[in-house]
Amino acid sequence: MPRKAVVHEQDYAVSEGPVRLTVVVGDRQYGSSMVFLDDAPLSNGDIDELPIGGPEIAGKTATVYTIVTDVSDATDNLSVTWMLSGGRKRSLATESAPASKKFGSQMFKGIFHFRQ
Amino acid sequence: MTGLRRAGLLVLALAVPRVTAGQDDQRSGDAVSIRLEDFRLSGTPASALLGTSAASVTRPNTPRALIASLISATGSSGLVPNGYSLETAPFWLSSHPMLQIRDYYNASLGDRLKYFTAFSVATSRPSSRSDSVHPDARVSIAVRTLLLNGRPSVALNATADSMRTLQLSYIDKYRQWEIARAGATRLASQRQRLARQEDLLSTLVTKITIAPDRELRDSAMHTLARRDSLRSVVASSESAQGDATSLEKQLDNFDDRLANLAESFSERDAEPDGIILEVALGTRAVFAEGEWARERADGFGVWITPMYRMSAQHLEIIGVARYIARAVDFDHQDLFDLGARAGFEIGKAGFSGEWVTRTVRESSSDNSSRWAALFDYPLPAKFHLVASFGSDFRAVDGRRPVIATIGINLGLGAVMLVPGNKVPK
Repeated sequence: MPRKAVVHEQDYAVSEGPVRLTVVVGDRQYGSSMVFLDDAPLSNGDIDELPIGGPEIAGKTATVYTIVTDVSDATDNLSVTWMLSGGRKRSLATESAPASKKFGSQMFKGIFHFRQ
Repeated sequence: MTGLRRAGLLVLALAVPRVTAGQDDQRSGDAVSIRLEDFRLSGTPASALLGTSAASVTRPNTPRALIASLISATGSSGLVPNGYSLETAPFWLSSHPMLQIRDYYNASLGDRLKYFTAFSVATSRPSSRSDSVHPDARVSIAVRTLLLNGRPSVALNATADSMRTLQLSYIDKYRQWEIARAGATRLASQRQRLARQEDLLSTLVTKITIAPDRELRDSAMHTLARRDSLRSVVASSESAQGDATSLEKQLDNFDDRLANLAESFSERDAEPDGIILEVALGTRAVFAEGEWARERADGFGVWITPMYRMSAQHLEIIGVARYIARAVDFDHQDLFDLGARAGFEIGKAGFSGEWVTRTVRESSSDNSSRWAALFDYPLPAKFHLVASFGSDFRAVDGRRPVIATIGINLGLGAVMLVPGNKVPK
């Protein structure tokens, strides 16, 4: 059975401008992401300043799946930081977890509910 | 080049011809130690300063693990432990959630010093003899860093691309698994409800058979409809559960494949292309009778190891400049080695040639040089066929041992960078 995902869930207030998402896979580990707005896929791979939408996305939910694999000899720590901008204020959230085994992988799931 | 640099060398001598043609005669019984890794610090610089090869090196990556290791090493006896070896990089003792992998190869000098600087400690204390006091112990402390760390090799980029593809497939399967698992979560309760409806229907049918009644018949019809609906729901959930089980197996398989790719990534990450410059220095002290309180300085060492690698062209050049004061394996004389090795690969086979000149500070007559041609061929099960031929450093008695060996590298143990091939007086 896959290891339980590390989940981060929050609301984000949109504004007039476009909301942008950046996903940082930290601790010098290797990770890939997939972003969905409700069930529609938006992007995958490295997520850097991805435009999600303007005020019209209020009421929708972005789900970001990021799988991080331990490739570092220096640390076993795995971390993901989600950065949202373009709304009423910038948002930055980080979650981390140790690798379950050497060269192990961990799923991170960011859930962002957009509201007015 | 991997085989030529593989740490951990145990050469089983299949045949060791003691070639003497064109060389000074060789003393019978002198074991010539061939150290293919002499050019690079395969172990910690602290261990190299002691001329030891610790069975294991503790590499704590959290403050708690570091403190626990140091406390266990110092102990309560007041004596220096034997065979302790530790290496730690202060930067990596804490988490760095904003440090992305792509930042690593484009780092400034200041950032490289943070990322790559590691401190090491090693101790050595021979076992005490029953008729003597505690023997003296040696402790070394060293630091090493990379001033230049090259660029990702083609092989590393290819591995990264494979990982990216597999990780995206993993996420895709994971989403399917989430949906399937959600559909299967209420299967048990749905089965219970279905069983209740089946029982109720059976009871109603029995009653209708004995005493036909309109209300009972209507109730049976409603129950029959609910039973059929529940059967459909349970069948759907059972299908989802089957899908979830199948997807779990696929995810486990993906996880294993990702782990294999990550290991390959880690190995290739340690061998970047371009210019790599490693610098290490350390100092060593003697502790009389092994007591922490009775310390005196006892030499130091400096290593400068420039490398240039073009993996696509299967070419690698390594230089070495090292100064070791009071070298343990060289009658505590000061040594300065300067040399280079060039290696290339043809198919799986690796070939390299090396030349090193050694200056002995106290005795210029002991100045010498070494050259060698080396061959490495990977065998199954990560074994390596290795062979070498050449002329080693001049011994203290003036003779020059011949290097001539063929063997199998079993990939065990660790080989330290020390001034090797010392023939005792």
